[in-house]
Amino acid sequence: MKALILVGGYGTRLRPLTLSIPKPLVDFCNKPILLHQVEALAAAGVDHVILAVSYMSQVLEKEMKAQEQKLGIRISMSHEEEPLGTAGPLALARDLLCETADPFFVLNSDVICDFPFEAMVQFHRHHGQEGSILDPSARIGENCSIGPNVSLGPGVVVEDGVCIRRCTVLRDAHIRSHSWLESCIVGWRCRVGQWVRMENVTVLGEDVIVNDELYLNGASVLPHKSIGESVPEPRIIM
Amino acid sequence: MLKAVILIGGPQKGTRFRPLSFEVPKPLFPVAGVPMIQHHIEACAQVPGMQEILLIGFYQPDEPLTRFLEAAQQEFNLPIRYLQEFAPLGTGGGLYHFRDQILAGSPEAFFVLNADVCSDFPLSAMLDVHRHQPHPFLLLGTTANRTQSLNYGCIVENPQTHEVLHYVEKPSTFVSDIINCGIYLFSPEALKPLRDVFQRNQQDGQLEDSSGLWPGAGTIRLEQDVFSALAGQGQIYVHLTDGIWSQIKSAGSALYASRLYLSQYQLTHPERLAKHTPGGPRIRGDWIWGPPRPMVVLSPQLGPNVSIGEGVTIGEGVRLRESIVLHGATLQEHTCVLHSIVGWGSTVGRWARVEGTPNDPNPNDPRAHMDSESLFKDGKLLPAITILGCRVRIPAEVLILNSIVLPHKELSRSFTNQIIL
Repeated sequence: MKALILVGGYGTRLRPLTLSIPKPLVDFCNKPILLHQVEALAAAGVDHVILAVSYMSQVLEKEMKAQEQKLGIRISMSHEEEPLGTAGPLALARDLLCETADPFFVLNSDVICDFPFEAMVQFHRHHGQEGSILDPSARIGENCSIGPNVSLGPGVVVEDGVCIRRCTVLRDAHIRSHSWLESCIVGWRCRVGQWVRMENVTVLGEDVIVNDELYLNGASVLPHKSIGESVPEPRIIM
Repeated sequence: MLKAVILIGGPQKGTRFRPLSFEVPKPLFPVAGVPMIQHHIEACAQVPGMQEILLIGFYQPDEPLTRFLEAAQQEFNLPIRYLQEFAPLGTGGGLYHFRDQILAGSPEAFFVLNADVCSDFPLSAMLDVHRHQPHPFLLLGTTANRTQSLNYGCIVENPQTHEVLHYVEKPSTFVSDIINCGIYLFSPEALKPLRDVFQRNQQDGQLEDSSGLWPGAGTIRLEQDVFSALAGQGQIYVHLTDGIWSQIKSAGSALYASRLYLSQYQLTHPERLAKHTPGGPRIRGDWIWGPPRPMVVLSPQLGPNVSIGEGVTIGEGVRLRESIVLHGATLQEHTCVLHSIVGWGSTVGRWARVEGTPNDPNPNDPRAHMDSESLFKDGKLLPAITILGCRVRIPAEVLILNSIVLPHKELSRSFTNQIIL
């Protein structure tokens, strides 16, 4: 059986994270959204997945080639040179889809379905962290308070005395000691200083540095920025 | 022989110092670790020939004041007495009312100091100037920049003779960049003009005005009634200083004054500065703690410009900077306290953040001073130093930013830019 996943689009509403990677590859509970879907499709008997792509297609292609090997299914790309809406990509991929006469799945790439939750419940029971997910390669210091609803990605370092609530911390980020984070997303490879307070859906893009002792309230920080001053009211830092 | 008079005001004055002035009279509020007027008394006690210090004010003599006076007399081995005005008599009325006490013993001259200033008190230099050429009134002046001078008493001097030609208190347009420090040296002759003003006020009106807009009987305002009136008549002179000086009207300026005094402590009182001890807290810049040593646990980072009172408990991983922590307060683990005053016996919960905004004078302008310190502008609270009154309890993990919390309050959430009653 085949499946077509509509992956076009810039994911503008997930900026600043989607300035660094395409939306289907943003980690959701430590696994890209797209991978949740592809694995579920493979388990349902699909052996050929077609991705209708446009933005950052090379990044996607590289990531999916790796998954092809792991899952033992065939993954093809159908490139949109210009945005074709939701039905256009179907027409573009007609040749691939009509190789056989079987019915095929069509999915939007950003729909969250039931399927990951089973796995999450198992994980939760196994780790007992009040709804938190910690990658085994994450390092946590002493006297920390992590949770509820926290996910720490691979290679994340959390120093002593840090309190994190309801946050997602992406791969290789580093949170220095005595900081307090609530309802935030910390992007890949960010460095958050000591005694920092971040809250109210502060989102740090890739490789952002936050200096010691600052206060960020609803700050949306674009990638590679260095923050040297507090942000007491929600705003975008370019 | 010499005397000194310190004008300490009363509870109606110092309202900009609330809520801290609810617990302790403003003149006793600790600045750089010791009560505000102790800096004055120390400076007076060092002038050779100083025989007596008189405090004039309108406070009821309560326990903190009495205890302070006893301790000060012991420490400085000098008679220090409090003369309470029967009614608020203005900056000059108390001097005239208690003239007999001031002139008892025939002092050669007497210093008059406002309690709410921070200074390096160049009293000996003023005395030398006075002895060289005695005049009834010698004012200490310093320079300010043009805009800020409007907040102070402005002095126009003759650059050769240093006579005060004009004096205007808080002018509406620029008069002079020399401002009045509130520190004076008077000779006994100064009391004659005060008597003239007093008698004129008595004649001009039994203005029994209950609104207090007009001065009542016995009130003399030094600045308007004496300095402005007598300027240019060969009676008032000014001595300029470029040492540290600041007014202390609000909590913000108390913190700034603290920093000014701390910067001098290397020379004047190195024993008050905290020193690095192995295993002790990491120290950045200058800070002090009151005796006995507070309980301090692992790895907090303290300073610069921090004063810590007696019996304070500081938990692990605390960051404390540009702040005053008063006696008996507790800062629990991982808190961050910046640009704030934490009141006596208050508690700040774990991971909480207590932060204010400094309104310090521009450090790049040597003539800059504090701006006029109003709480509000255009109906909104101006960002300023955060103040926690006495026995305030801040729960864990909240943010208190640019806010003032009145005493005994227990908070349950974060607050920003508010006065919390």
